[in-house]
Order: sequence, then C-alpha cells, then structure tokens
Amino acid sequence: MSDQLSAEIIAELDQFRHRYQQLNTQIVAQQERLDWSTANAVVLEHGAMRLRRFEGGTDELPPLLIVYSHVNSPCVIDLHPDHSLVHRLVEKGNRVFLLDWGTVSESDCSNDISVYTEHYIDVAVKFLQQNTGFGSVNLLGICQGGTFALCYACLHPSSVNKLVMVVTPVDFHAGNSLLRHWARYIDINLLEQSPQNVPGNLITILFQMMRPFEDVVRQVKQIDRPVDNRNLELLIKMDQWVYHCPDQPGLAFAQFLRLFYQQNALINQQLVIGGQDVDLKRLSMPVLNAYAIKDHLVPPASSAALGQFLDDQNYRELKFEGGHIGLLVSKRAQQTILAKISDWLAGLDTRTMS
Amino acid sequence: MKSVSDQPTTLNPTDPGPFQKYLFSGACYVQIGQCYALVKEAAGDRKIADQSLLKSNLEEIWRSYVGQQFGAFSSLENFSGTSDGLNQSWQSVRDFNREIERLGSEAIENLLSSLQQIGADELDLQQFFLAWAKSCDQAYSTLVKSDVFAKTIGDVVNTMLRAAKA
Repeated sequence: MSDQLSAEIIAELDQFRHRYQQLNTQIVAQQERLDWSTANAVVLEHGAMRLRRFEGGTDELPPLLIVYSHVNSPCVIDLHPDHSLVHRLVEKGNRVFLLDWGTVSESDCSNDISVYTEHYIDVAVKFLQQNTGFGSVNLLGICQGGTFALCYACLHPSSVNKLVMVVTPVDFHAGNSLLRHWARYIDINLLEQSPQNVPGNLITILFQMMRPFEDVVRQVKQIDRPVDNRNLELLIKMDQWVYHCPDQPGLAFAQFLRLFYQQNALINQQLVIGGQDVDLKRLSMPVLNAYAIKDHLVPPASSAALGQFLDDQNYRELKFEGGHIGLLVSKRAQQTILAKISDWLAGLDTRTMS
Repeated sequence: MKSVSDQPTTLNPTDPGPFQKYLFSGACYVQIGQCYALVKEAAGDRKIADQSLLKSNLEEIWRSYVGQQFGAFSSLENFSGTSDGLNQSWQSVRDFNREIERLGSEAIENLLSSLQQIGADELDLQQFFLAWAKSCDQAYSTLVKSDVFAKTIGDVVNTMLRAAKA
C-alpha cells in the first residue's frame, strides 16, 4: 500500500476523532439537567404522588390530567419548548396537570396495582373536581400510564369528560410485543411472595438491550452534523431520560406483568381491580386513541384493539408514521399528531368522531 | 511510513492496537476503525481485503458488543452479593451462545455484501460505521425476538430476584 493512501486513511481517522472530541467537549460543557421546560408547581402531595400544575391554559375548559408511565421519567413530555407535549396542549388553552408518581420508597414495595390504576388517579381527579368547578376532567394517558388511565375511566366513567390514550398497550398479546415475550420467563411469584422494589437500573438495562446498535448510529450521525446547541441540548436530555428509569414498586410491578403481559386480562375482560370488574364497555366518554405505526415497545395492533369495544360515534384513532418516542418528542409530531390531540381536547376539532 | 494494517491479528478489547488515539474511547469504535483500515488498504492495493482476518475481527466485535449487553447486569447491586449469579445464568443457556454465533456470521455476511455494493474506493469511515451498525441491528433484532434470548433474560432477572430475597 502506498504511503499516500496510508496517510489518507490516518487523516480520515484523525478527523473523525477530532469531531468526536469536539462533540464530547460540548456535551461536557452543556451538562443539561433533566428538567421541565414549562414552569410548574406541585399543587397536591399524597404519598409518593405529586400533582403538578403547568402554567397557562384557560379555565373555560375542563382540567386536563396527564397520567404518564411509571417506568420512565415524565420529563419527556416537556423536555424543550420546541419538543413539548405540554406546550402543544397549553397553547390551545388546555389547563395541564400531571400526575407525577414521585420517588418510590421502601414502604411502597407492597402497594398493589390498584394504588396506581385507581387510588392515586382518583385522589388527583377529586382534587381537580373540587378546585376547578368541573364535575369531570379530561384524562390523557401515555404508554403504561394510558393503561392505568383506561382502567380508571372504566371504573369511574362519570368522572372522565374525554379520554386520550397515547401509545397505550391494550391487547398485550397483539403484534410482536418484545416486552410480553421477555415477561414470559420472569418468575413473578418471587416478587409477589416477598415484594421488593425493582431497581430502576434493571429496567434501564432491559430497555437498552432492545436496540443497542441505535446508540452507535445516533452517535456516528451526530458527529457529522454541524454544531447546533439546541439539538445537542435535546440529545443530552434524551440520553439522560433514557438512562434513568425510576425504581418500581415491587408488588404492583409484579401484578402488572402477571395481569397484563402474562394473562392479558384487560382485553379478555377478566381484570378485577380493588374488587371491581374493569369493563371496557363502560367507556361512555369520547375516546381518542393515538399510536405509532413503527412503535417497537407497543405494537400498533395492541393499541388499536380498543376500537372493537367502543361505539364508532365515540371513538377516533390517530396514527403517527414513526416510533414510540418520536410521537412524543419529534419535531414532526409537534406539528401533526400532538397538535391534533390538543385541538381535540380543546374542542377545536370540528370533524366527526369517526 | 508504517502501514495502517500493522496491527494485532486478533483483537483484544482492552488492547485496541494502533488506532486507539484515532477513535472513540470505546473499544468497539477502535476495532471498527481497524476493520475499515483493512478494507481501504486492500482497495488501495487493488486487491480484496483479507477476508478471514476481517471476518474474525468483525466476529470478535459482534461477540464483545452483544456480550456487553448482558455484562451490564453485573453492575447491579444485587448481583455483587451472590456467587457468580451472572455466570450461572450464562451457563444455563448454551443455546443462546450458539444463536449469537450464528447471527453474528449472518450480520458479517450482510455487511460484506453491502460494502461490495458501495465499493471500497467510495467508502468512507462514517459509511462503514453505519453499514456495520445496520447489519448488526438486523441480526440483533432477530436475536432479541428469539426464545433463547427471552429465557436468558428470565434466568438473569430471576437469579437477581432470588439473590435479593436471600
């Protein structure tokens, strides 16, 4: 091989290293903290749960309660003003409240699933009813939080004015759900018999194991992009979000795996929570079901399965041509699906429910 | 001038060879750089890269990268108090290792064929990285959907839960 070619290859490797170092320096300099981009305040505390009120919105609309998944930080709905579900909702007049699950402590390890599917949500709903003058609230559930919100709406239909589900698993055996496949071999008796909180690091590792080569692609692509502090800020915040799953309350986590992933009790109409049947046919409010066609965590068929239980007049679907996280964070989602959800909640969507 | 392929014939993640200073600190990136250099050097000499060396290097990267995924479990607190809980889980799934080898070979064949399509003269480092990641991602997506993978996850998690209970 010629000396010239050797030199060219070395120069290319050197340039690559240089760009990587530049990127690394910027990342270290920014050190973004995972935090909200919209001002908010805690208006209620109950056990580990916190109810947050985001600034903005009008009191002409029923309050909107967001129920996010327990397995990740809810900050992903408001990472950056240009990438924020909260912003999209507030700008159309919605008064946004978030049910923040808070930090799990040792005393939470014996909480059963009803604490998360009913009790905490009910405490928040009652607070909003008492403090806003509305007899029912709009409820928006995301991912696992969507499943929880759905259970709540079945148990308390008169307390829910409108229900929005975002990337929510309903039929846990539909499509090729990787999580369902992995859950098959976990010995849930071990957790149920002597509950202990499940470390968040374990959940983080399991999520990371799903698509590890994506990290390589993301980093390599970033190296070749022009420096853009805003993109970098979002990238860092996304990484912090992905790598920091909270601890899970042991018994509730075990019951979630058993009832939903293993027994698929919700769609089979066999789910009983707190002694009450969770009957999907009790959903009498308008329901908007938004899901992602390329979702690797919640197969679209899993979300769409809800449609069979609802009257066409009361049910509408929105499909997003992207993935699970992209639906919440991507720039494209802000202008399309999230704007439509916000319009629908604010009563600005004049189309019929079909 | 010293050739860029003056490197160890087998790759050791802890001793990444002459390219350490050129690429990421992660061994994976260094090793990929070495493979890239092999392909480019061969193209410069108007010959096909030493396929057996290239394949053996790529196999080692695949094995090491997939192994890292499971290695992450050892960082969890509940494993530290057990007598090689992680190793027990690994030993219980010989099928899993066989599947990793099979899919690794498949990924490498796919990579080599996609490199042929690009052409070594036109190839740059970023293209090489992305082609490698894409071929590995395809193989890995088959792996994570397999029964042996799910069983291995179950074994590891159950071992951890038992250790914490004890």
